[in-house]
Amino acid sequence: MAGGRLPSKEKKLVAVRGDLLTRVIEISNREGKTVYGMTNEIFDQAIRVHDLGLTLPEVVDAYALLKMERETGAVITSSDILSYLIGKLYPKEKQALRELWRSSGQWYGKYLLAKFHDQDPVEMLRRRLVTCAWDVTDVNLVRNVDQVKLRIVAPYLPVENTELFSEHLEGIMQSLGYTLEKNDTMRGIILLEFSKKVEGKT
Amino acid sequence: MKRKFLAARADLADAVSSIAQERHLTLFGVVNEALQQVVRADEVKQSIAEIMDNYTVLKTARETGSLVIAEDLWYPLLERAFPAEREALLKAWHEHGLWYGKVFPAKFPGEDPVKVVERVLQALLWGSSEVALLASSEAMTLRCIGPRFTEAYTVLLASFLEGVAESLGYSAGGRDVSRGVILMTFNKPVMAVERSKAVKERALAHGVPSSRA
Repeated sequence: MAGGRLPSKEKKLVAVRGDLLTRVIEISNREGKTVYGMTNEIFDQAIRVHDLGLTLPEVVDAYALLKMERETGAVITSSDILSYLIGKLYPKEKQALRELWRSSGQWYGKYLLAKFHDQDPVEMLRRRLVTCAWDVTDVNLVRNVDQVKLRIVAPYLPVENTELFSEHLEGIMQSLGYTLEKNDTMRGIILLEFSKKVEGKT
Repeated sequence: MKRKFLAARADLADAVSSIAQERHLTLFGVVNEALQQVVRADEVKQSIAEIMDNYTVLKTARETGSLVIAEDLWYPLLERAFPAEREALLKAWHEHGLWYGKVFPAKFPGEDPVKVVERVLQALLWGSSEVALLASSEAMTLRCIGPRFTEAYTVLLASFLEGVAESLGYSAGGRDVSRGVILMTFNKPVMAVERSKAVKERALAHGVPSSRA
């Protein structure tokens, strides 16, 4: 129970939208729960999420994005081990690794186009970076007509990882139909500027 | 829009009402927002409680130095580095497992640590199609299957899982690890202190002086 409070036996009536109540009744019936029991569970979770400094829509949104990331074939691993491996391999295989990261980005860009064909893939990319790029502390994506400026801050990212991440982002944007105009990448900071490719030109 | 009424426990309704005030929203708005999320979660066949539990696990993983990476980057990287870095990597993964085995049960106090770890592994081992832990008081079996796992990843993951089990107080027993399949058994040694306490208690019950027990 959230906050460790003692369960009250008193009940209170709370006004809700009729259509939502109908759906909740359907769900509680299907799960063999009383509507009262389910309401208490929902309220308990709303309190729990508030204690984390979040709202339920924020948690459900973030969870949906992470689930999508899992479905694209992502894994969770230790950032220290990743940095260790990149640190070992990068000096010897810089070009091969950059190509690998770019090609993975290109695939992801195509995935965004296919999955969110009726939505804004650039906005989906921003949301993905905010939620799924766990080593990033700040994501800023500004759009101006056909231009996109992307600023990423990841203070603890080693220079090799930063360069690879930048390459990955370039790959994504390339698949979304953008051409790189400016790349200012240094340890822990990525500043990229893109413009939309004009139809008929390469 | 038609309004209806929902009964809730008074203390919970009051707490949600305080949240609404804090967020400068009406109670009606906050409750509807919560119900909308329940409906949304149901559409992907999950409950809000399950989503919250999984989200808490993922948030903890993020806060303790994990990150998300595409398999098509991670697996080739491991395959390239594994031959030359085998020992260092096995050690690093084992230590990472030890860490996970300590952090997560602490994050969910009051719950069975084995059950917590099973839930955590199911939430975090994204490349796996199956993760199961079955524990008794003396042994634990662990099954992890990931059809896309590479050879190196499987071996390293097994080392990680051994670390997790070690943190739970189990020591390695049987081990059957091949690409994409990890089957391991662990033993739970009776702690020397517990054994000595039990021996003393038995001895006292039989009237044996404590110095001899």
